[in-house]
Amino acid sequence: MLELMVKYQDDLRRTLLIGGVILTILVFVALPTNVIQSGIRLSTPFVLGSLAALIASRAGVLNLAIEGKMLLGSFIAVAVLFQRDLDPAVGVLAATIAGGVLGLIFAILYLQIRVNLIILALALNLFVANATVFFMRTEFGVFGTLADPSIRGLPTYDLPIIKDLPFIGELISGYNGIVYISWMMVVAIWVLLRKTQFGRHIRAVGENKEAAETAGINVTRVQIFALTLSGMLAGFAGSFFSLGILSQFLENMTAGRGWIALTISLFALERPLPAFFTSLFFGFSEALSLDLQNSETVSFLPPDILLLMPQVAAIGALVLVALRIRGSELLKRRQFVAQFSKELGDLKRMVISPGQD
Amino acid sequence: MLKISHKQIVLLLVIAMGAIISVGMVHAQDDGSDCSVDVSSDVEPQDNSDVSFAIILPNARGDRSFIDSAAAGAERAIAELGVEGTIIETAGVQEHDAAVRRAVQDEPDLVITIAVDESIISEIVEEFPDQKFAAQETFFTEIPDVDNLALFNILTHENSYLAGIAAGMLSRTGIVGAVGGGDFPGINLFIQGYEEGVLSVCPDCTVLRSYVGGSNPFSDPVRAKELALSMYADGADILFQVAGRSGEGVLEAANETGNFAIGVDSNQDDTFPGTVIVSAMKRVDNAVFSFVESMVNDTYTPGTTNVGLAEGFAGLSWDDGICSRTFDENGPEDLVEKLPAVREAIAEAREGILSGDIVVTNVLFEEFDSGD
Repeated sequence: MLELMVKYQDDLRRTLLIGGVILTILVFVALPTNVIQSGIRLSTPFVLGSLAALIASRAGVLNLAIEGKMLLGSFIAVAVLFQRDLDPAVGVLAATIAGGVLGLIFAILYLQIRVNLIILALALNLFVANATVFFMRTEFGVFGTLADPSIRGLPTYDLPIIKDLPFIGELISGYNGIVYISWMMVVAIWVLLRKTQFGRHIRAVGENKEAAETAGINVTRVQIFALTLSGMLAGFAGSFFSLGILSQFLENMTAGRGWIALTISLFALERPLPAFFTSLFFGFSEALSLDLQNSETVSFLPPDILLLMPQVAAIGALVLVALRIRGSELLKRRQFVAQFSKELGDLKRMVISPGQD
Repeated sequence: MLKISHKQIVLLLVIAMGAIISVGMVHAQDDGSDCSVDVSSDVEPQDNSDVSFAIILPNARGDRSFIDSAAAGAERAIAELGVEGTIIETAGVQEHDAAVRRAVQDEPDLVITIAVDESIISEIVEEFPDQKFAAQETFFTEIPDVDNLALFNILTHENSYLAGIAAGMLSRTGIVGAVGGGDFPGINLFIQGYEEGVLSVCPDCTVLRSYVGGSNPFSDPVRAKELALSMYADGADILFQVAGRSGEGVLEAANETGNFAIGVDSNQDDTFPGTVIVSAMKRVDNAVFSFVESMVNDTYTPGTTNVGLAEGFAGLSWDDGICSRTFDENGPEDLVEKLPAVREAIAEAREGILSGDIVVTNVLFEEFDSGD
């Protein structure tokens, strides 16, 4: 089995990717249009959130504050628009900047003052959750819900040529700007990490901080940049809740989705493309579980079981990923032995009986 | 290496805080459009400062639902009865036990809890037999046999039935739905009554039923909105939301798709004028007020009291006293035309319920007193 895996390693990797693509296509064919649209909307914050999480992880910082940064983004987006009659895009921009500022503060507190990473992140999440409630009361005089006719949601756009395509058209067209940008961000982050010098620096820092430092990379600067970018992505994702899906801010409206995004990033081994597909998977399962409650074929099942579906699917997928990681570790070891067995043998002989050549 | 001194960091923090604050520097809007026909303003404030109470809210205010309603009741009691009242907001179920115990320490005459779990109440009322309690919105499987606990059982299946009549008569598609927070008896009480109301006037109608679920069933408007969109896509045109803060998502979905919704607990007709037809109101505020009043008048009676339409604890936002007419002014013409007939049917059904001719299924009683 392992020999086969070694032999066809590249094919295997390709098969997995192709399998994912086929699964996605199947999903597109099998599910009703409204479920797919709902799934894409629900997956968008996951896409952006998991990108935010993975860019920080790649720079060697586990960013547990995604949830708080998202929530701040949601709040700022609405707070900026409140009774100002501005374009919703301004709110999104403000949310992105706010997320970036919080990311920068987070980076400085962690890297310069060396606050414990976990405690800092949790404190930040709690701080944002309570600060939003506080400011809603003191500045807007409302409890829990910040809504106003002056706050308009983002408009949806039809993609010019794509919307006329027979089947795909209505599935991937007709969303608001954040959805499209989230797709572009997947590519952009991939390019950043893979094709640019700075991306290589980020990866080097994440892999081995000391080595990167020795090689002359400014580790602190790289990490500050990565955390700021991560915060911007999270803030941007947050604005999707309050302006993309709803057009109001509600206390704690992210409802734990930042944590799910973090899980997705870990689950996708911190790579952008797999993170995108995993996000879609989570979004679709959530949309499906909501829709199935009214489906005639399965409505005899208790709703709780249907609502449990995404979690069950996630556990199943986690097991698969764990198996794959274990497999690839074994593979690497085997490969190493196969490749260097001769050298290793020589080395051993030299160590055991030196000077007998 | 990037060198940043502590002074600079403090400066940065101050700038950031300033930014957040300045963003918020918009004053709250003044909302004076309420058609409030409450008699409250005529009443001369009394002075009962020797009577005190504390009320523990299950979560922060702002659900525009029963928590706000309870807080409003407490505020009304403080203003009108002149009693000493403390409103305690908690951040969730993990704080309930501590908050109730903390309130007991201050020894107010009455401790009112809103939707605190049964197990906490049962334990505390036995531990402090000298403290009077009122536990509203707690669903007991077995009410502890003590003489320091009072509660109102608000029969919301009755007004949900009336809201169902409105939905059944106004639906254009013949498909209506209900969105619950979770599959709990306290939620199904509403939905069952609503279903029966719909079917009483529209036997061929389909009533869809869905639950938000998830880790935050009552505070996940994003999920609730997607759920509602999916139901509207399935052909439903009126949804009754019984999902607390998640319900905001249902109302938004209705507004966005040009469909309709029915509000719950508080008067939500004005959240989206012309979209929210009516609200099935659960007058938790009246319950809270009555508890305090019973302390003032010394008529505190332990045990459960069933109250509903007759006592004005359950009703519609169209009823006298609130007289919401938002939908009449903002709704589409073809539906507004039908409203007089709908109101007539509702008035008739109300008579029927009050006289006992119409019996609406009470899910709670069915589950716990199936022996009757």
